[in-house]
Amino acid sequence: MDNKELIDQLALFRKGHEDAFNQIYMTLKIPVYTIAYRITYNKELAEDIVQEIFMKLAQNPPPNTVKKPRAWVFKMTSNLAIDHLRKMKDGVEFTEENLSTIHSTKEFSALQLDVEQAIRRLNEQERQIVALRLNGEMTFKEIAEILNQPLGTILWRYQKAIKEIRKQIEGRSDDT
Amino acid sequence: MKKLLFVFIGFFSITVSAPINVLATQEIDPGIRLEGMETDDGTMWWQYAYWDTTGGFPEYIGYIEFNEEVAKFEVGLTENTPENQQAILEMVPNSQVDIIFTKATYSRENQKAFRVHFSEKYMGEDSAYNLRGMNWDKDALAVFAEADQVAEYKSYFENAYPGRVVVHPEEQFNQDPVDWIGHYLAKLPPEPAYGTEEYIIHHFGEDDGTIDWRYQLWSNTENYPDNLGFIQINANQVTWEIGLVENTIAAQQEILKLVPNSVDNIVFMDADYSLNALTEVQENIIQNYLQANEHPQIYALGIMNNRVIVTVAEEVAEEYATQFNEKYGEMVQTEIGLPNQTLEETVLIEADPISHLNTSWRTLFLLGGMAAVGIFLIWQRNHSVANKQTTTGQIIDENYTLSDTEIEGIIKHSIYEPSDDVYQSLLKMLKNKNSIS
Repeated sequence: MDNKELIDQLALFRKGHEDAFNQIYMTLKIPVYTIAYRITYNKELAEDIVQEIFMKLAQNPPPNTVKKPRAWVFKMTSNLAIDHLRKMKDGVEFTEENLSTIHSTKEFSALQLDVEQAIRRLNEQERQIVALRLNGEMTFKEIAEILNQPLGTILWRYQKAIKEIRKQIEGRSDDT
Repeated sequence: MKKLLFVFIGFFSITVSAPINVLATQEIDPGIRLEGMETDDGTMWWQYAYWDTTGGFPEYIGYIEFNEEVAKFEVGLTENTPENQQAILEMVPNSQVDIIFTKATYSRENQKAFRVHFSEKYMGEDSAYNLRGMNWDKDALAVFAEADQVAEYKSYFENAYPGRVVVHPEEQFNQDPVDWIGHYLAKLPPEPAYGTEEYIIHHFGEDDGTIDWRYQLWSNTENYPDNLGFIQINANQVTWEIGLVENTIAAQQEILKLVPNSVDNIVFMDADYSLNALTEVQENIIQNYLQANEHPQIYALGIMNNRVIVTVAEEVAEEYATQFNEKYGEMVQTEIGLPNQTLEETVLIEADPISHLNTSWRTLFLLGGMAAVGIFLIWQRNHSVANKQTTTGQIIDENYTLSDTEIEGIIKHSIYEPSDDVYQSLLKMLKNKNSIS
């Protein structure tokens, strides 16, 4: 669902078409959840974020003036995920051993698992940029605006993250 | 309202001294890729991005802001001397008229330390202070409070940090932010759209006449020559095997003309079907079967060894094989699989059906031992996971290097889906709040 289709669906939803909300949810649930999960790496938290985002979307859909509602949704997702992550860090310590919070990846291939593991080792902001770019399909410009950082910084961090993932996969990480 | 850019100053920036004439010696660290900005264009835009990316602001810079009204950078110098101004101007010969120099009271290090102090004392989760955000405003720190508390906070901070903290009503926080990125982008050529030749040139450089470059172009744009059935690199990582539907000398010449620097590294083979035709069939199956979500026993789908491979549950294998055969003939090969196969399991499971394949197909399948490069998409039912792997199921190891595009493809297709409970619970919550009516 591109921005235009999303705008149309949101307009229908504002007019009371329940189906439109269902359509929006079904289309956006995967990118929203994937972004939230890749930032937090906590299944329950990511699901809470999905609920919160769609509740907001249902109760306060973006106004007509928002021309890129996809970016609007992913920005909210990303901000919420970071907020939750910070709150979580202040509270119960999250560890990799805490398996109940980790999403099942049993259906992933070995290569996908390696890549996922490498993403997890990125820092919070790199994970955020990678997820917004690849799972939210946002432009670098949009990400720069969301994170309030120069475009060059975003591009650099993104390239650095991809390079780091490759290093991890190829077993060349400094810390492995 | 005067619009100013509040330049973000990272906590982790490192301030270092810059040489007087940096332009001549300033080179991007090979480990740092400022994509699209590799060349210093002598503008303040480039320079600012460079400083911000490397953390290498000259120590005499206190702040930098972009004033949108006059379209000029305001550079605050702790020592606003002609020498320091000249040093900056020499770094940005193409932005000299775009800069206003002013006196900065504090260095960036000092400001960062103050921000940390302020943040810890007044902005923490458990803070009793009701502040809503902070930002830079030249030398000062701009903080935001509820409108009816602005006066109180103003008085308090003026007393605690004279001239250092400016209090604004919270409505102004992030209100109508200056689109400096927009200004910057307007000066850059637009980022090429994914899947275009320009995108490939942007990421992989100009066409160097090699099959490696051409492959990147074909695979990234998903636009293969009509006659091409498959393309894969041999285990020796040197020889490329190209399958052509009409494997004639003329057709081979057409390909070789595109890759004059790889003519010795290409072996032509016969292909039954073109990759474009197979892709079309694959898309057709996605649309008619997978997106409809009515065929939960189809586990995986991909193009492999010049066929579209569909992996299904054992109990329905015959039914689907008949159905696909009627619709697509031998272009589609139905395989028995499991819903949650890993890469290794996929290879193992697919080894069995090989016994009933015809000889030419089997020969191609045996190329599985080779490090072939190509496309393979698996549609996993439970989490809509699309596996990306080499054509023949090659496991990436130290002998195989993934390209950026391949890594990006894997991340893009490795996706997660929330449990159904989330939607049910969402509907319940909405119903309770009577939001959908």
